[in-house]
Amino acid sequence: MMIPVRCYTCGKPLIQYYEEFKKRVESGEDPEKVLDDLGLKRYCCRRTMLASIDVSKEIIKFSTRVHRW
Amino acid sequence: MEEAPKMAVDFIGVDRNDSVMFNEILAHRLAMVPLKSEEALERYASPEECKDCTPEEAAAGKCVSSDGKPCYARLILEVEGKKGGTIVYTKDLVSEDPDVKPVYDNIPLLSLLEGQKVKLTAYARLGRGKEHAKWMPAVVAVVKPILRGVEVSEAVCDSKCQEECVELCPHAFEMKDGKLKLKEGTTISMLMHCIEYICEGRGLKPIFEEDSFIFEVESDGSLSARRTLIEAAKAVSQKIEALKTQLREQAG
Repeated sequence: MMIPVRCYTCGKPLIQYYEEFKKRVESGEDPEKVLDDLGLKRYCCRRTMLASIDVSKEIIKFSTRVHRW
Repeated sequence: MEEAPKMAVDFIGVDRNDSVMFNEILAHRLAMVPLKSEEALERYASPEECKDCTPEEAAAGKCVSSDGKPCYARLILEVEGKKGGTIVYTKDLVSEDPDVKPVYDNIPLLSLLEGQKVKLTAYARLGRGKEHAKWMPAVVAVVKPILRGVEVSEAVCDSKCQEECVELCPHAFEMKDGKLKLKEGTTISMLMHCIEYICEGRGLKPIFEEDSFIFEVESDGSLSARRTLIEAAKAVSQKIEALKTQLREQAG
């Protein structure tokens, strides 16, 4: 589904960085550098950020309530 | 730290949810959103008084503490999906109390297609971390000793053995004037790993500062780290007082 609001392990709110992270990584920046810039030091937060995939755009196609594109 | 109270969404009343996200997941996501609680600590009733309040009572506004403070703060979310799809952020959450609002405005909650609607009311109350992790104001709370250096016993480990150790553990040790020394910036976990597993049985011992330590508190944004510490200390002193009175009752 959507990516988690907080880090699974330590509970730090992470999702507010996600859009910036995604934008910068997609524009070709090294994820390691972006994570350092965002101030995510612990490896639990870094793993949550790196490993989360937002699949809500794929799932939303199967929405049963309203079908309008 | 688990005793320091803060605000978090406890339950939601969903009027309409057309999105693909289930109500339960949405409730969990909303609960995880940190809410500003610095002022709310004084203005809302304590967790103990609100714990047994049912959602029906809360929706009817019947949950009030003995001294007239309300239990719940209401946050309303009402969004309709626009063309091309909409992502609902925490900035769309309208709080009835300006002191209780999400710390971050850009937390995505759910996505909607055109014409899909979501309408819900979220009820936030004060709680303690021992009840649920969403009420934990501190993300990290650790006590660390301060590392001064490393002690090498020459009888067990001569200079050749020390050199070997430095080669095996270049991130923790370095050789200075023919002796094994601690590298600058070495963390305790790195050092202990080297001592206990890699250079095991070579007479290495860490030296810690005796009467001082580092206490690290990282807040999730709802309370400042300072306030969290003060609230936690208050909770500890309350517990000690309770223990004292109980002991007195038992004795006399």
